[in-house]
Amino acid sequence: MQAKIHNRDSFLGSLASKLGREINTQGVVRPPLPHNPHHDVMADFSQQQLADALLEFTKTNLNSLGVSCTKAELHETLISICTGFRAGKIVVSGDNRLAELDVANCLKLQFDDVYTWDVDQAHAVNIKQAEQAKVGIVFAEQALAESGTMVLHSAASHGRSVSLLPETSVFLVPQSQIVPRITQAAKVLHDKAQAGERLPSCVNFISGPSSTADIELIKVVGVHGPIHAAYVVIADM
Amino acid sequence: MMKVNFFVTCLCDVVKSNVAKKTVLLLEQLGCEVLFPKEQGCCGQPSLNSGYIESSKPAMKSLIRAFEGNDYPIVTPAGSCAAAVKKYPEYLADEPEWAARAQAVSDRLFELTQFIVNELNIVNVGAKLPGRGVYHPSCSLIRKLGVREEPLKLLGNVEGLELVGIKNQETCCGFGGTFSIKMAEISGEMVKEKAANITAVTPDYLIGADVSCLMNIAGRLSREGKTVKVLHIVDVLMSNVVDDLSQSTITSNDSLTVEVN
Amino acid sequence: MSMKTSDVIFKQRIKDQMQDSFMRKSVANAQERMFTNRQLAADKLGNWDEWRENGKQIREHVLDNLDYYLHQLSENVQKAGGHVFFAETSEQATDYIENIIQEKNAKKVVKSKSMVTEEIGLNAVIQRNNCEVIETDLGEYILQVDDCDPPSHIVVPALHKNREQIRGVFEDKIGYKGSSDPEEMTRFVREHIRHDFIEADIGITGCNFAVAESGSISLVTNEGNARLATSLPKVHIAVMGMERIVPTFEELDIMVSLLCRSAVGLPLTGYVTAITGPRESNDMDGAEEFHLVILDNGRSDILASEFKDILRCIRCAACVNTCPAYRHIGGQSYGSIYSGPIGAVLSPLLGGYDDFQDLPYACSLCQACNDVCPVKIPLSDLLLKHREKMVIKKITPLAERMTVSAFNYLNSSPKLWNVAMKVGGKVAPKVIKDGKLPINVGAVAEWTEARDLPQPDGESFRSWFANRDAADAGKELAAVTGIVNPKPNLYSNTDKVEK
Repeated sequence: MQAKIHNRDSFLGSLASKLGREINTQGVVRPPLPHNPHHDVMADFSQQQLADALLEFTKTNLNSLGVSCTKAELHETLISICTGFRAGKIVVSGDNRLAELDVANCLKLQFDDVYTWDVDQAHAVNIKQAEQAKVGIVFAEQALAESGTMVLHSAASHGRSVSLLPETSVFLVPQSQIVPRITQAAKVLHDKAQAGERLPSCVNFISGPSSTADIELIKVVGVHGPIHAAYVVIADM
Repeated sequence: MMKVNFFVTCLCDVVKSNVAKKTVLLLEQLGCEVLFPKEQGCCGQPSLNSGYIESSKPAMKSLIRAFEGNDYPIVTPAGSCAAAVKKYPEYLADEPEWAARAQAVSDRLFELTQFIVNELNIVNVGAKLPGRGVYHPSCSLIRKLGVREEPLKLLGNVEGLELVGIKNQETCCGFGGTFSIKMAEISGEMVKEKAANITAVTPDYLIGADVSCLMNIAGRLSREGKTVKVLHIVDVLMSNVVDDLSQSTITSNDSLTVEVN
Repeated sequence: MSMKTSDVIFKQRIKDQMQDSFMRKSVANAQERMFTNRQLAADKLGNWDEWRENGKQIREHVLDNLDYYLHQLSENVQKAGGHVFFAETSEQATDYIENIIQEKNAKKVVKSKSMVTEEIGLNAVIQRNNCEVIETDLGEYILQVDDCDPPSHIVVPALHKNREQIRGVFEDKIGYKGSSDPEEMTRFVREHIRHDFIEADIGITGCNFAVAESGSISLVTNEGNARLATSLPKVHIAVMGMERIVPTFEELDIMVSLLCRSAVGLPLTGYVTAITGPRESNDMDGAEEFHLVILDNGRSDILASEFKDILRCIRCAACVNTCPAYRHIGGQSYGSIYSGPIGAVLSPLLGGYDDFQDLPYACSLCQACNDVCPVKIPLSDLLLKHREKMVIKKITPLAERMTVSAFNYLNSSPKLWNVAMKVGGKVAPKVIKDGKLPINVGAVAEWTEARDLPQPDGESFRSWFANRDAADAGKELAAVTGIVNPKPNLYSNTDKVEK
């Protein structure tokens, strides 16, 4: 079906006439921001300091697990995390970077039921696998130190459901990809958009497990999204 | 000697005239010659805050005229009235000439503590008042005029006075001019909570720099039969003089203060 | 539910609400916690005022060029494969969505929290098509299950209910057998409606900010329900107020940073999600069809009016969380889905003075809201503007108009005012006894409901000053010696003696 825009001319026409002018659809230039405090946050931090800040925030503010390990230690770390969460079934994102790190294969040695998100399977099959999994493992594009956030870009091989349906989300992120705050992550998207690229259909900034405070303002972790989250920073990546 | 105009405001003129009288005496004590332009009226808040901007204009102009007799600073012991006048240029924006005249008056207008601390550069007036006091920072001072530190500086230098903090210190007392009448139910609940937060720390005094808030809170404390004495900041700043003259008006039955018996 | 949530008159509503001691305790407690969290987050970030100024400028720029950015946004949504519907009225918006429901023969819709869909009364429209609609935000879910109880807070809609009430509602309506422990109840809802996300034909969300440069819509959430509603159903419909737009991701950064801190005191909420169009062709999940409904519903009139500043609002509820009037009357008193200072400004604009004329007066003009607003909306000034507008439209009571006229007449004449003050000074102390007047009617009765009248000091200031001027000998001396001995003596004026 061809995507349509309905009713735009009359809508914008009426808007412009209320403002007492012609419709303007061209040539607006964004004024520079009056202040730039967002560029100052953690501006002089080393990657190590950013990793420390990220993990500290994860523990203290998000009540989540945050660990740092080397590539060599990764398998052992993941097995221990999944064991800790008593993973029965595990779903691993079909992300190439996870395949290169041999994540699914290593887990298969320890766990009986490890499914990798598969673009060749039907939609329903993938969703069902993710629905049944206890742990979902994904690879983050970036992590934001200030807010303990993992940035995920959707793609065919990395479905949104992997970090959404299982009870526990495990995020892997290279230490080199930790940035101070959302400012740097927004720039990546801005640059893509300016270059005329279509953005991933879903970009998620995820800070810890799902939560709510809708009953008496008491924080409850684990609502519709995951109940637990674990961050693994890969120090030599 | 610095000459200043005194803007009395109507509550201080009629109801709490001792606050006005003491303000004049304090300014004189601090080396000012106080002039009182007699043509002055009310700042117009009851009308302005109810939205009657257009029909308030003659009175606004009358007040502007009243203070145009000289170029001396204008001082008032009531923050909300000062804040109201400072909005005149906005209200009169359609009449550029009047807006400019309003701006000129507004620029010369100071709330009392602002004037003492920032214009006279005095933070210690030599006052003495033993006891524990709660300072109520009126909305009109802290949020409308940006006068937050000035009263605290003056009170901090009052000998014997210990300031104690209360819960939700900067929350409105619920006066709000016509709000206290039009929405008396809400206003009443606000002042009850304010009174409760004040009495919770069992102070000797409640001190403020705006007569209307003090009237409101004092009215509630009185209703509850509480013994906290309610003082305008000028009462505190003049308290040494009071001691000299009549032992102490603070404890006198014939008190000068917005007192709760 | 549409914007108006009650037919009871305002004074009765606040009276009823103020009886609810749980609600009041809960609101007071919530306000303090949210206020503190917001303040801590702002302090931690530092330069908060610079952030606010940025936020304000971004929003102003967008409002000034709204046609440009709406055009750009719609182009980019289309480029990404999404449909855009521009709705001038709430009926146009609901008609469009109703058509989709009918076309898809949808039987189930899952919604994430969206104020604008409440504003247009969308749920009723969905239901009349024999289609079930489930509000999946926990707070909204509680209210929906409780026979559509109106929300009392724009961020925490069920704030007025305690856990025991919620347990009771769950027991009666959805067969819950557990305790009133919030965690247990939350988990129950998780299990109870998980299948709805999987079965739903359509997911409907609001939109915190649309990003014009890419045609993305962003959702700022915590519970994960918006992610489910946009990932699992085949169709995703996002509904946005036409002003909720930023030029690029660079501005989104600033706005989201302000929103999350102002709303919940966090640098970011659990999920900030940017959806661009439908799923890409080889994606496994995500909606196959994406519709963006852009709603005017009175906003362009606001944009062209003196109330334009209110359109900067990003619905963080910081003003609600600081408002002392809201604190005592609670959200349902406003009779609108929008409560607190933002509700008192917005409701009359979107819903008219007939239904919402009391709200602009439910404010002491303390300006605490102005100070916390992350986009520097002068809320208190806008409430005052409403009052001004109602005066011009002669909506205010006749008695009030007459009283104010008399006051302004007196006050514009220095001679009359002078007499009034002098007489007032003489009369006041004689009539006010023990904090009361002999007859307590009208304004005095309202005042004395909660407090006593002040004890007047006696002689008016201007009489005193005039006498003192006349017999002015001590003044010079006072100035020189620092000893004040005015004549006539302050402490022996005749009114005092009489008293």
